[in-house]
Order: sequence, then C-alpha cells, then structure tokens
Amino acid sequence: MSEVVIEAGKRHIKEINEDIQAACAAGHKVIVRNTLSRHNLGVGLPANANVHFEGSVGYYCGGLNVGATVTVERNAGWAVGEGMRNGHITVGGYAGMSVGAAMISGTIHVKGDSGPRCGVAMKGGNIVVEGRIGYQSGFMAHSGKIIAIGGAGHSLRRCPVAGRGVGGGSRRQPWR
Amino acid sequence: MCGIAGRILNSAGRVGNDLVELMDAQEHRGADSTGFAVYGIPRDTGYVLRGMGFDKSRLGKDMDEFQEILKAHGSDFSEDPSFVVDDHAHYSARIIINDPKDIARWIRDADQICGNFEVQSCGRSLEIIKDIGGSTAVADKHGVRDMIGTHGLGHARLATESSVLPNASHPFWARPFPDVAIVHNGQITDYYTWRDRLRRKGYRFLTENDSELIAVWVSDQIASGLSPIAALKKSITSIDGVFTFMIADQDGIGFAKDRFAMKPLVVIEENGEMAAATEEQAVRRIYAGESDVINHDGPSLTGIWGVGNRSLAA
Repeated sequence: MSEVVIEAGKRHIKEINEDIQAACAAGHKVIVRNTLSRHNLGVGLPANANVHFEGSVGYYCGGLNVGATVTVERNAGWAVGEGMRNGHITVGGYAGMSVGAAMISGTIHVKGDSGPRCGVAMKGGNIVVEGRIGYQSGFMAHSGKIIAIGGAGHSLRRCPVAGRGVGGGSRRQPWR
Repeated sequence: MCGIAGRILNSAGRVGNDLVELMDAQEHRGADSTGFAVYGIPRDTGYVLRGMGFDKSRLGKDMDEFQEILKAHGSDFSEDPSFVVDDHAHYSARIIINDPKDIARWIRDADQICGNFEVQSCGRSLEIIKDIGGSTAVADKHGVRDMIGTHGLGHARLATESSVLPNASHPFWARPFPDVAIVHNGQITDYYTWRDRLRRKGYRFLTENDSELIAVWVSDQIASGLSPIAALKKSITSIDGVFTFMIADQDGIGFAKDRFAMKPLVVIEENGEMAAATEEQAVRRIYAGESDVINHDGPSLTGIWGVGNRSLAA
C-alpha cells in the first residue's frame, strides 16, 4: 500500500475530504498533515481505507465511518466517530465530548482520557479508553461496550446504571 | 452556538491582533455580531469610554448632552472624542474623560440619555468594541488588530435569547464597575428574575440580552465581599441555564462552566501566557506547534488566570 500525503491547511473542508476519498479509492494509505485541528476531517470514509491524521483534529473526525482504519496522532475534538457503522479509530491523546456518539458498530480506542458523555446514545460497538471517561458517559446509550481502564470517577455514580458495578477507582470497568 | 475567546500576554503587545485571530477561527459559530474587550496600558487617572449612538445624524447633539452630564459630575472630555461612522444608522465613539467625582452616580445620570447614546465600557484600561457582522468586518472597521494591551476577550454571537442589534453584542461591561467585562457562550434561563433582584439593588441593564446579567451578577457578589473565585463558584449553582463565560478585569481573566458541561473551553498556557477559546482550532492560531491543550470539558468548573503576577481582584 503506497502512502499519499495530503495537506489540509485552510482549504475548504469539502475539498480536503474529496482528496482523502480519492486517495483511499485509489488504494493508498493516506497521511493528512497540517490539520490545524479542523472539524469534519475524514467524515464518511469507505471500508478498507487507512487514514492517519498528524497532530490534532477538531469535531466529528471519522464520523459515519463504514469500515476505515483511522488514527489521530494527538487529540480529537467533540464526537470522534459519531454515527460510525464499522471500522477502527485510534486517538493518541485526549478525545473530547461525546466520543462515538450514536455509533452502531466498530471500535474507538482512546489512549488518553475522554471528555463528558462518552458513548452518548451509542447503539453498538466498543469504546476503549485507556484513561478516565468523563461525566455522564453512556448517557442515552442503548447497547455496546465502554471500557474505561482509568476509571469512570463521578461519571456513572449518579447514573441509574451505576448499580451494575461501575464505580470509580478499580483498574478495569466493563459496563454491560 | 456562539464562540468566546480570552488572551493574556506577559507584557503589553498586540493582543488585539491575537483576539481577532481567535475570533476569525470561530466565525462559523456565529457572525450576527462580534466584539472584543481589550485591556490596554492602564491610565493613572481618567477613564477611557467606548460607546454607541443609535442615530448618527444626532452625533453632535448626543455629545453635547453627554458632555453636559460629565461637567455636572466634575468631569469633562480630556481629549477630543473619536468616532467611527459608516452606512449604518449607529455610530461608535471613543472618549477619554477626567475622573468624575463618583463613577456610579455619573453613569446613572449618563444612562438617562442611553436611548440615544449608550456607554458600553468604562475603565482605566478596558475598551469594549462591538458591532454587527463577522470578526474581520468588525476588526477592520474599528482597527482592533492594532490595539495594544496585556489581555482581552473576544466573542462571536449567534443570537438566541434576544435580537441582533449592535448594542446587544458581547462583550458586556459590568455597569457601573470600571474595567470589568464578560463574554458568554450559552443561554441564561432565569435572567429576568435575577435582573429584577439586581435592579432593586440599583443596577441598570440597557439591553434585553441575557448575558448582560452575568457581568453585573458576578461583580455584585464580589462587591458584597466574596472573593472572585468564590463568586465564580457560586454562579454555577445560582444562575440557571447553559453557560461557559469568561469575566475579566485589569488583573486577569476568570471562567465558569455550568453543571451540565454543555459548552466547551479549550486553553493553552505557556510561559505565563494563555489563549482560551471555544474550539481548539482557534487557540492553534496562536500556538500552532506542540503546546499541550487543556480541555475544560467537565461540569461545574471555574478558574482564574492572572496577568503577570497579579491576581484577579474585581
């Protein structure tokens, strides 16, 4: 798989995403540079695509993913992988509010902490956070797994499902 | 939606330019109006005022009336006022005055002509510039990029609770407290109730904007004896609604976030300087490189950043 480098910069997001889509369709591994923490990077990626974002990304990165492998070097803003149906997203640092919002399947792996409402309204799939998950995580979730290795802190204690064994402090906290 | 920003420098520099960059990167969050609060080099005496007249054909008359009220309070223009006039009906004014005998009494009288001319900031160093339109348009019209200072606030408004009017733009001055300004992202739901309570204590509100309440509420708490951080903490359980707001005075910038963690705040601090904004892509305009971002994503958060070694003492 040959690599293609795409410069994000201040170009219109549609243009950047079209470049990413075209490179993925041609079978290349894509590296996106100079992201400037822009929103909507890599939304709607096709199955089998492989995209790496250098630095940090803004909101909705990798959203509506149907099977791509996405890696973010540093942080992701709100709702990384929102509504994804399949695929694998890895965030190297911190992932902001609403990780995997309404996701249906696939896996999101966050190496740092996540913000509040992690897995909000999720309907399936897995979210693995190596650090702590934020306040109100799993809010309105129907199904799926959130594994918070660093703990849930106050996140789930006030939540009706807290009785299912999700409190702060223990090493591994599977939910459901 | 709205976008907010704050910036602190170690010493006086191009803070206006940084604030314009921070707001330009967030213009998509709201371009109904844009505003800036810039803390310039403080004066030992005298105040700098920023204000807005609503009918430019009355400019001369407004200024005569305004000057007359100043004189009645032992003050006067200490320089010729400067004006920004364009195709809109309203105009903007920058006025330097000598110290009135009592700021609160003077502004109470000056507000009697607020239907024609409204004072929008008063301070030894604070200047609030606000207007309708996006950040570039407002910054170009008012020369914000060239403003020198130590710190400041920025705001991009998407109007929700009240009309799009030039004077309903942020930041808001904490009338009558000199040098105190706020920007707010969110909606306050009990502002009518709170404004009534504060009006009974003698405060005056000039717009229908919900955010104007916050500036006065926090300042009133501090005037009643609370420390700035205690006042910010109290706001979380006292004011109802959705908010992340930043409040500034001559000594620094503080923030508070509601109990539901609805509105973000992203901060980069480096070598005693700081940039804060609603979105990371804005602070990256200031710190493009490897600086670590702090995401204040949780609920019920407060914090204060001082300018240099000063602490916030609103």
